[in-house]
Amino acid sequence: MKESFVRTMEAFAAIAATYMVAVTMLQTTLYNKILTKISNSVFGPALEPYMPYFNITIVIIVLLMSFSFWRKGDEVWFGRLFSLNMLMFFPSVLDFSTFNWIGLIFDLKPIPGVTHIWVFAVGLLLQITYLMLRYTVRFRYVRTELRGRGSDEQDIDDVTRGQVSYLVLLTALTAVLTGGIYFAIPYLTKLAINPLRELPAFHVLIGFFVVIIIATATVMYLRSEPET
Amino acid sequence: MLTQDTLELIVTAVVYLVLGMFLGNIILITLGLAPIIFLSIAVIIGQPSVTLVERVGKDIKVNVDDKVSDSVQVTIEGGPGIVTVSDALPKSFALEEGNNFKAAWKGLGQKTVDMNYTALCAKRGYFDIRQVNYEVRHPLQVNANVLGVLNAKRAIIVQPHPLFVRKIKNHKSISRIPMPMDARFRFGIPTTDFKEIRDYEPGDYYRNINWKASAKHLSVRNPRFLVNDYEKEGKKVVWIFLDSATHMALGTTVNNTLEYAIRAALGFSNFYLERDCKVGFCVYNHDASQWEGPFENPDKQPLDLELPGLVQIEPQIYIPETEDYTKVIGKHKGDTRVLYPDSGRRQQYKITREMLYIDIQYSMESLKEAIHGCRRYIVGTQPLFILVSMIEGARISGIADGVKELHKYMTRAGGRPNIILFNVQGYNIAAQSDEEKIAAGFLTYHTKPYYEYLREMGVTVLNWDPIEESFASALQRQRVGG
Repeated sequence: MKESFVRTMEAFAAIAATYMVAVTMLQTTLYNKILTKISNSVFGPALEPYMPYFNITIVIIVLLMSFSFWRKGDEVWFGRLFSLNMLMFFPSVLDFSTFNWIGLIFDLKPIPGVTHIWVFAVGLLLQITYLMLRYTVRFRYVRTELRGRGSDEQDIDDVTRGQVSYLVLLTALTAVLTGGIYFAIPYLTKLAINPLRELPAFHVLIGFFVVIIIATATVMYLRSEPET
Repeated sequence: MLTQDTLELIVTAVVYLVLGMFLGNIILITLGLAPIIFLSIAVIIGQPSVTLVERVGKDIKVNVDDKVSDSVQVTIEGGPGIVTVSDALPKSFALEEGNNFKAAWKGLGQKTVDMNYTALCAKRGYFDIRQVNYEVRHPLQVNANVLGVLNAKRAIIVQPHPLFVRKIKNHKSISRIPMPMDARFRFGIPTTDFKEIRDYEPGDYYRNINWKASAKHLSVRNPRFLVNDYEKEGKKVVWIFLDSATHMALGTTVNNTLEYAIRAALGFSNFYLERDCKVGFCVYNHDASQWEGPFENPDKQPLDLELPGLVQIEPQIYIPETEDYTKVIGKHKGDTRVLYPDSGRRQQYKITREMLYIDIQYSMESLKEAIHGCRRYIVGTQPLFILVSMIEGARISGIADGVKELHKYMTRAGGRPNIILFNVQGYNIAAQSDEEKIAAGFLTYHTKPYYEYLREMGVTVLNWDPIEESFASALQRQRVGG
């Protein structure tokens, strides 16, 4: 598998994720509120003829930015791409939040244009893209390193093919399992709600404690592996 | 082992989960689990492990500039990942075909990696290439890389090319190489000193047939008997002294003055051994003439009188008894590199084997010290001395002192030269460009007055420029030139 294939895969993932998240953002309550504010401002009459092109312009601009970040092709710019995507994803998450702090501040009633499954799917796409881009950069570094050490080109291509296949398999499994958990949550909630209700502590505190346990357990497990 | 990448993933997951709880958003909480799931699957699947390395090539003996082939088979088990294997070659080996480094992707099943290559052996020596290095990586580098070494032993002995004198084509000229005094007859009275077992030849005594050895080797294909051969009485002795000083390193690592000097010394030793002479071989260090002191008996213990009232005036210096210290002492004091005179194939083998290990600063004795150390084997014989070195104008005293020492143990009957100084002119070896070649010519020219000085001391100086002429023609030219 050649490096060009890896780069093409990166471009496809980056642009697809940005497009999906941009389209989702355009259907959020916060975005529509901002758009209404602009229309009602002093610049509103001047911008009125261009308002139908506003959405498409935003989509094109973010896609160009995404393409530009992909062109840079290193970890730093992929990190910025992820930040851009998360920034656009945040309004859609707020629409489905129990504590919509920003909605409370700006007196917003959530009227999302997309379903919660759509938002979850886009969020999962962002996560998968983040994981993929993170590792494809390393795959390219490995190629350069192996080439520098005098490895045959065929061997390098074989290694890249194996790495990409492994990554695709792993991200697919992750997506399936995460999706499974998301759809199982209502049922799990029904099962757990009664025992959890009897707990003497505040629920957020318990949740925070659980998160700390998950993180600490993972770190401790990985640290316990013999250092070579 | 926790890597930076892994830590970043865990931090990302924690940020999602905390933000999800802060906003009361089940989507963010679930998405926060994705990196943890991803990491968990990666850890559970694991990474490869190298279990076995097999080398197809066997121990081999080759000459300089020969090619050797090898094949290494590596068995990999465990989970998927990247494995790199490298069969480290000695510095003087040049890869000709194939590759001694291999990167492979290990899938879910067991994998065997084959690595084939051919290398050119550019320098003499004994090379042990047992170590096969490997590196195992997790596909996503969740764990730290595993570096390891497995043994698959193979010894390669690269012998120097002897410069055979018999290759001289011009029969009209006579080789300048002299024989030791009175060593013109091949036949002599056999002694009781066993030399070797060889094939029976017409004229051999029946009593010399080695029946046991003959019975072992007798077959339809080889119907010959084997006879014991004994040393002949009155064999003549040749001493070859080889310089291993730093100035012999002139040139590159592979192609330097010392390499040519070794080939010349080997050529001389083979020549004389084939003519039934006893050949002694000694490595000295011209540089050591600068720090040589009075001769001391290494076996002599210092006096320990313990006289009452007598105290040591000089302060005692503490010297740690470390391994390195003993190595240094062993190398710098009493480290003699001598093969005492002997004849036959066994001696030829011994000298060739010694040649494999010779390097710059191989010996720490000056020529004078080396001759003094061998004096018990020189006294009473009329040997021919061959000094193989490189004459440098400013540093002739070491050779002159050695020649004076030699004069103590020899006579000059009939005016025959019994000391040959074979001068390997190394300046041309180091010269790369035309300017450097001109400079090399000047430097060589500057040493000419010293040849006369040495000739006056009874030394026959033979000059050899290895780049311009062959060993044989150098010897021939000396004859023609007078």
